[in-house]
Amino acid sequence: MSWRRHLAKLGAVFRRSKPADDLAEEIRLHLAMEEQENRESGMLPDEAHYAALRRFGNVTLAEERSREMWGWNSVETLWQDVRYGLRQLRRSPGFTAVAVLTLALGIGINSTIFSLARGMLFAPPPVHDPEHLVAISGGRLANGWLLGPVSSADFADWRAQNDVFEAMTASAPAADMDLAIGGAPEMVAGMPVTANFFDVLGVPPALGRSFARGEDEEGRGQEVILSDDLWQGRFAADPRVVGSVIRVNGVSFTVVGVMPARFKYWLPPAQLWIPSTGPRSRQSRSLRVYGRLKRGISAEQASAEMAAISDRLARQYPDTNKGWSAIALTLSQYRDKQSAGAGTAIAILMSAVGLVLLIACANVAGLLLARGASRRQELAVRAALGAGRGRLIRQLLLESLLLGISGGASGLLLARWGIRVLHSLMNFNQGMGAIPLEVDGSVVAFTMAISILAVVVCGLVPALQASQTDPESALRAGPRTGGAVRSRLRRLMVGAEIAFAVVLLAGAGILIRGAVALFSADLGFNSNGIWSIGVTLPAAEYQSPAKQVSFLRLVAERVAALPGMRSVAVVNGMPVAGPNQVPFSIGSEPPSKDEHAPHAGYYDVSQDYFATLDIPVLRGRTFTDSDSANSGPVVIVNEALALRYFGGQDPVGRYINFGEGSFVTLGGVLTPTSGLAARRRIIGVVGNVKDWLGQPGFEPQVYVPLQQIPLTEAILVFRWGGGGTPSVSAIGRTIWSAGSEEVVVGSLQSMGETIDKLGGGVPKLMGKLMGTFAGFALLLAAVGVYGVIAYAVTQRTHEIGVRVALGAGRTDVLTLVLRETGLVSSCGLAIGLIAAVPLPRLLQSQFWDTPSNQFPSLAAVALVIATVVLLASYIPARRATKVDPMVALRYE
Amino acid sequence: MAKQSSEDRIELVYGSLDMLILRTLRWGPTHGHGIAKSIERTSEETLKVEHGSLYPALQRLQQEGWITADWGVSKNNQRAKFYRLTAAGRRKLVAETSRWERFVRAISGVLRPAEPEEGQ
Repeated sequence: MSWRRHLAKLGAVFRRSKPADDLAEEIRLHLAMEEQENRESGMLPDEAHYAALRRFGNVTLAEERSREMWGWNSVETLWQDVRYGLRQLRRSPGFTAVAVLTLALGIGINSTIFSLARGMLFAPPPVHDPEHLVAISGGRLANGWLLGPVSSADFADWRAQNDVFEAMTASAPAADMDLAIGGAPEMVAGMPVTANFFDVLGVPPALGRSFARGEDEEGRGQEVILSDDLWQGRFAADPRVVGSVIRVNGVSFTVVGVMPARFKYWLPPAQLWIPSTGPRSRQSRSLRVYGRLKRGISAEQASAEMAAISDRLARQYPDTNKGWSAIALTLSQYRDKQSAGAGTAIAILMSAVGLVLLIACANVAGLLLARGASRRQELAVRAALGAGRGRLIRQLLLESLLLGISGGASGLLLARWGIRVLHSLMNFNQGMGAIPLEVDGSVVAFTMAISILAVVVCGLVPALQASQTDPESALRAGPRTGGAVRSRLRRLMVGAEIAFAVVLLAGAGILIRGAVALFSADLGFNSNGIWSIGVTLPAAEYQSPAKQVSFLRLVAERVAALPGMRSVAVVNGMPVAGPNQVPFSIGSEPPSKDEHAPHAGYYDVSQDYFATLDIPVLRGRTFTDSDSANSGPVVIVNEALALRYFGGQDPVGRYINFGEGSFVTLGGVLTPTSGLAARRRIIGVVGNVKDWLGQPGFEPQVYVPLQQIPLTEAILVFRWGGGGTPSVSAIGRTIWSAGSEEVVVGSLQSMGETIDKLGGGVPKLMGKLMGTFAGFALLLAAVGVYGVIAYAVTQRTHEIGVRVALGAGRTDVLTLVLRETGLVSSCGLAIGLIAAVPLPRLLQSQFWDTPSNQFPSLAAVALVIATVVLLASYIPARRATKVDPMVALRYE
Repeated sequence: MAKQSSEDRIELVYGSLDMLILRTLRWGPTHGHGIAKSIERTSEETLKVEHGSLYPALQRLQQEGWITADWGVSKNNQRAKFYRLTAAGRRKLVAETSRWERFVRAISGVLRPAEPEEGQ
């Protein structure tokens, strides 16, 4: 067929009616002419008429074949089928509504989790050319650390000595800062960065300018750049904010720029950025360093160069840098490594929502099967009129497709709402909260793909089933006769649904139990109302240990005087927050440097510490004023240490050996031990405390008094008794009043927030999500069971009427109906339970503690499912017992 | 004129109907009925053309652009749709005719009784 005909055909599709009328007219006139001729040649009028018709042939056929010539036949019939399908769906609004809603639920949650997967695993970082931007981390390979922070002195040397980067930049951890814009100050996260930060990242501010060279130097740095969120929230998106002056932590800053909205996906997130290089230190490591590769240099080459430089520095400064190396990773690799655990979590979530979708599809397929049964007559008529099986299947699949499309579109809407909910659940952690969750092109494409998949899964078998009509028997028999095959299929599907629901419920149960165990685990102290805030002393002002100690004591006193404070103490690192470890030995030899030598959790605390945290004192005493810098070195141990190294004997009065110059490792920020003298006398034993979240059991711990071992970086921990949350500005002012405004005050966190940030939030989130999905699965399975039984009751009303009339009792009827799904449900339950057995091993990655015995929980799951299924079966079955035999026998 | 019996009428090969229509229109615009009558007449009623089968063919020829149609009035003052060859149609007719003639020559060559061999 030539292209001209193709084009003509296409045009004709849209101009259907006029050519059809024309043709009919033309044929009519043709016949008239022939009839005329016949009459003229002597035939009678009737004869003439019929002779003309005979000569012409089949008029309808001629018209149809001519029409075929114009129209694109397949497109026309397709459009016909679509309109027909829509009509059919409109005619049974109940069915359509249930089917669409079911699909929408299944598809919606899949899209939501997919956007999470995309945000966590695939979304590109919001910088220019991320492939040539690398993150350089400090690493201690001996400890297995690859992504450690960097010290400012090291950063300066790296910058000066390297040859592979066009430019390097660094950011310090974000700290809580008071933002005052005429009115109540608000806590915001402010991040100190070097002046070229945004230039190296390649993300220019949307308004205003980036920092200029030199603005990060000492004494300068009165400029600030705002985030888009902050600008929208606190400044009402007023463009005149650029150039205005705001007060942060009591100091005036000029706003020079506002970042674009997409930069909110940069981790770690912050609401404003200040140019600063921070105090120069080689031991204190807290910076994140990024570098823009020179043209032609690869990340591996950069990594090798940085490792070489680090080695040089380690030789130059063995006290602080020994064992430290540097690793350069491209930004994508860096993020991948950071979210390494996320992959499994996402896989688990996607499997869960996949199962829910399967259950939803099974429900819809069941509905379609039932519908096919009720449409037997209609389909039989069409078959009798000449529709081939293919055409019928196409029609039915098209209807399923319409359902799928509606389900997919509704699912997408549901996903938008679901994403908002998910986002609010994820906001416990700044890192998690910054993950981009949005309905973008890939999410839409994914939704379309699974909608079509769902259609195929749901609609194929029912379509094949329904199109298999024998017109004669279908037209003769009443609609009452259902297919045995159909009901068998539906029952099988219900069985499968129940199995899936069991697996989901079991999995959710495991995760929820794990999360609950994490949070309700005895931490060893009373964590209610405990808050912590970091304090860092500027090295210049507080050189002498005595000054450090007196400042910290003064701060603790003054803060304790604030209204609402119950008790305040100072500690070097919070418990549960990660091990500060120190090697020790019992006896006279110094502790070995071997990694497998005894280590203890190391806590440097003020006198009120045990009282503040409610840690019980089991033996001996705690620190008092008598334990000063001039008296003998003392130490308090915990029960675990006493048990492990002193048997059942009283360790008070014995000695622990710490060796000289021991290296203390802290999670994140490192300081050397100063003054941890060799032998210390044990003066007391206290209760055990968890060193880290999810720690199984308790490990040895030692406590040294603040007066004897001063700190330059400490944490102020207090129990808050007032209402609401403590005011960070009030605390900050108090701290500054005790010393100077140079003291750096960190973020204020409640114990709950600390635990969340430490990764407790993720198991909680997983538990919530899995619980929700299991709930959906249960609901859908129950609906499925209900549907099958209700349908069976309708189909067998006549039969039930007969049986009741013949003397069947209520229980007989109930048994009859429940037998429909009884066998399949039990099998489904059994199969599901068997499949759930390996789940704890599969889900092990999600939490630290392996749950011991799972039979009780499996039994609980079985009980829940059995109850739900019984309930879902009983309600429609009850209706069967109410059947009035007289009505039923007449029921058609 | 007596109509021949139906067995004597030969079914038309599909594509050749197109050619016949184009040929008929060579002599001027005609309506569908006229085309049918013309084919019957000039083939001495050998070619069996159900009038109805003309119409799909006419549609096809229109789509290819070889003929155009306009409503007009017949010699009996009746309304009818008149078909006319286009320039492209004319060219197509020439090409088809020569192809048909080559085809006929080839078939005839095969079907012709073999020439007696000299002296064999």
